[in-house]
Amino acid sequence: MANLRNSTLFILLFWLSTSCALLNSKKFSLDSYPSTTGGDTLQVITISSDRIQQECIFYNAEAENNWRHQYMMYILDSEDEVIPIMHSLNQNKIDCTNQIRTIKSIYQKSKQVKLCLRGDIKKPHPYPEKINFGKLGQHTTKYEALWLQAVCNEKICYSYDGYTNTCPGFQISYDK
Amino acid sequence: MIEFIILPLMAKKKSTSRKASTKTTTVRTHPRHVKPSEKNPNGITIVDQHLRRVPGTFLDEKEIYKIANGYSLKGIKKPSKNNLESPDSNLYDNQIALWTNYFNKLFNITPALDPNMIKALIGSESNFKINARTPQAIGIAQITKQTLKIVQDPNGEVKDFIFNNISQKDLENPDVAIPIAVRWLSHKKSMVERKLGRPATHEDIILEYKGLLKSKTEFKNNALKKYRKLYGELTK
Repeated sequence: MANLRNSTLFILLFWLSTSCALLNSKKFSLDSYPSTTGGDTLQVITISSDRIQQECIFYNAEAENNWRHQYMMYILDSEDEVIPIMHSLNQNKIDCTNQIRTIKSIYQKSKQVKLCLRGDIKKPHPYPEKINFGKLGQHTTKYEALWLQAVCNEKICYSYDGYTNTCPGFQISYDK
Repeated sequence: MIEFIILPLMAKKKSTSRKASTKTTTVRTHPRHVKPSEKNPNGITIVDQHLRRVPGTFLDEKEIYKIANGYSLKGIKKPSKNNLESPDSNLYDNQIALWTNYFNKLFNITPALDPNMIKALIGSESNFKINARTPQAIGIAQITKQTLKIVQDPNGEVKDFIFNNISQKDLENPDVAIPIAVRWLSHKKSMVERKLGRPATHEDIILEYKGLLKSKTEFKNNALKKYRKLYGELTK
């Protein structure tokens, strides 16, 4: 009887740990695809939606450049370290905030999303800063920024430009 | 039939209406044929005395094409053709080479502007998209509406050599946008050298173009990230 109880307990524990491991793997997973043509490495990341934050940084540039904003996305990896992601071009406030809204609507509609990013994953971030992830707490940027290429849930994608079709497994149904 | 009487005078002679410079000639009051209307029933109007830029001190679209079509690219430094991300990245190399060479010679720029710097700047501003547009900035070099006004202002900060009759729509044409960007960048180079009191590095010039020379280091690094990557690719 004790043996049976022990084995049931073992099975239960095994099931729990497997489930937890599966859940964890869905929080963050990364596949790298080095370019064959000398371009950027493509990073395809599947990530839980609550591990994403976004902001527009106003550069307060001088004179005729006073429109420049920098779109930033921050994602939390499996070690709870922050990877910053940049839109590769400066935008004005309206475009930048619209981009935030569109991307938010994509990740809020789904528990996890897939990101296609360009660049090499490198440490450290030259100017580490703390990013607030709400319930998940504050975490520090640890990596150099990557370039944003596309964000997709199961149904729709947000893509900056037509080069997204080079992202493995990305089928763009929405292009700004 | 009244003939046009246009009498250009070198404007060292004082004009009565506006102060002239060696960059302008005075065109005396003269008649001009127009479509007959209630205001001008005989089809003639009188054009008041005015100043006109001396050829060689300004560029309009016609002059831009005239120069571009007759310019020899032989022996001038062209930007590298390294494989950048954008498929359009090598399309404008000739225009970049031509206009960089043109303004380097015209203003005797020392050290000369580097066509790779211009190409990397364009890539960092628009990813080589000719119709990139925000409410403030237009085209391949993301020239702002305000900059367009400045480069066409005969009394403005680049009055020594200006552009003429260029519209915002024209900035979506890389044949027009590239010479304006190079001219503006040459001005930014001299501005930044005045500000810093030393020769400008290529990154100083780019930061001045983007209006971020005096910004926080973090902002500068963010803003230069794309440019550095492209310039690195082009010069490796």
